[in-house]
Amino acid sequence: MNCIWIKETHKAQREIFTVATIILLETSKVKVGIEVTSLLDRNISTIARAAATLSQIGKGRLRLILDAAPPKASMRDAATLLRRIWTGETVTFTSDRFRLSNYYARYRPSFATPIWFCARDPKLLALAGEIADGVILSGPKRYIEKAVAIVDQGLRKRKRRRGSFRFVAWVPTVIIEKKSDVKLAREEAATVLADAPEVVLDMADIPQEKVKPIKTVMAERGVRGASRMVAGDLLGDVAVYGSPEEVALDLRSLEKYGIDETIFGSPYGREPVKAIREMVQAWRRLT
Amino acid sequence: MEKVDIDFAVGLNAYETVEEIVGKCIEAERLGLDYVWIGDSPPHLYCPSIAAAVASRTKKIRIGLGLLSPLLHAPDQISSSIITLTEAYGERFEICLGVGDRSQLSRVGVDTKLAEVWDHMLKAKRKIARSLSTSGVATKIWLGAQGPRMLAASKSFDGVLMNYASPRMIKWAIDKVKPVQRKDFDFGIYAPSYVYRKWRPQAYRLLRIASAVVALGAPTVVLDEFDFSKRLQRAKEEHEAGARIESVAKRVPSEVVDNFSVYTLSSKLSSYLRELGDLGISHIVFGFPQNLSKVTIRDLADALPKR
Repeated sequence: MNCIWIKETHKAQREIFTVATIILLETSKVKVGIEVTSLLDRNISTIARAAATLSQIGKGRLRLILDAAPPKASMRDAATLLRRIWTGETVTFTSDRFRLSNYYARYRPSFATPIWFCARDPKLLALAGEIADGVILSGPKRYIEKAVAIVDQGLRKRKRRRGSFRFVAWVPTVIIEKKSDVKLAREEAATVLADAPEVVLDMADIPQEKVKPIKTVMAERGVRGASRMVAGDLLGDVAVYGSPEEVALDLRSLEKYGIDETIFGSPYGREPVKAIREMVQAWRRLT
Repeated sequence: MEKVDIDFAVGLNAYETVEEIVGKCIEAERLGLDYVWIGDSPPHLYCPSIAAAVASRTKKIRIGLGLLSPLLHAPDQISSSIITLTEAYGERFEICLGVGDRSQLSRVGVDTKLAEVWDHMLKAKRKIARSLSTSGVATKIWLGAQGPRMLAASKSFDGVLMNYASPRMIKWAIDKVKPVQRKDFDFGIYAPSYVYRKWRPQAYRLLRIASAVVALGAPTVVLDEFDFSKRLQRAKEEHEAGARIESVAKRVPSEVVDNFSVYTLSSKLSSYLRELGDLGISHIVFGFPQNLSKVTIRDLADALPKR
């Protein structure tokens, strides 16, 4: 595996930078990507120094992913401020989200930390192409195809080389051992669809009315009820499932949209560790 | 030296490389120190990650995180860091909460001029303690305190780390905390330190700066009590006007070093420790610049009572 990706979640009582530190300490080659969703809850100087510390510990293996709801200006400001802090500049900056006054870091980052965006909104996708080092895309396959094109526009706008940028797709994946395991895929698909903004559904050519009942049932009865409403075509659009070989082939097929890396995303399978192992073996056989 | 019932720690500032900090912690453990404290400040590296790196390369030395400011870190972020560290490396961690370096915090947009800041600390402590307890993690929570109100608030914590070094100031501070009902409450100090065998001008210059930072950050009531207000007035004005601390420190009288830091020849440390033991101090953190090098840490360890 090339990279381990971790997403910050407020439900788990684990602190993402500390978890990532431990993974970096326990491994030597694999990259570690952390998706920080608390961009606006943490001080920007704290994100800068936490990332710098992890980059040092991992000797350049860290990927920092900023995941926040728009406004676009906040993402642009955050990426710009992080880079200015890491170069050792004395920074003074004021916006409604960030405030620094004659601030400078006393540590010296010994490794560059790439900044990625996790984005779904078209404006943020374009911004990712303009200023980020990579982007994480998640959603139905047709959406991913169109999202890549929007990010490409951002790259072209700034005359950036396609090769200096990484496109990554995060796909919910389920290794099916028994027929009943499809239920897992349905539940994950229901969660993804219920959470999908209108713009994502529109880009994926999925009619809003097809998803509206899923959202309603999810809110009223939870994921189990909603999962029963995920039709077969929707399931195939949102999740990748099947035997390890089928899953590997399906993930590999995302290459045709311009995806450089795919993330084998949760829930993995009935037995997650076994499923991940089988998936890795199948991927190796394929490559 | 006779037996002294005090835990000894060295405080580390996290602006060096991770490897340098970890190397000093390994040396501190080898030399028999009880604790290392990893500092946390906006211009420095990230304390919980450093703590993980230290824990992964040491076996038993206890690791303090802090001072951690709840004005900078949300209580749930602090508690989840400790839970994560404890799951990975066992119950070797303690934390010290406190307001933090006001000058540095203001540079990153944190408002430190809150009314009733001690109440903010108390609420943060309760949240953190509740979250740790729910996860079955037993972590001692100290309060870093200097002014009378913060000292009084420390009674609700597991211990107080006082930013004082001279016995008369420590005694004054302890009186502000007492009476404490709990038997497991600890009194400790965390002070700039330079315990030396061979005097080094660079270390002394840094000690002067560290002492100046502590004195200039002290509440007015403390400076009045110990007759420092007038003597520090000019330095304080310059500091508040944005002058670099290195130049401000030159204006600070040498009594500041004597009162706000542990500054002594290693052979004379024992009488100081005895005096602090008599006052009820059970935890001493020898702060910057004692951590300047492995040599200065060794000088400290050699001067401590053998156990």
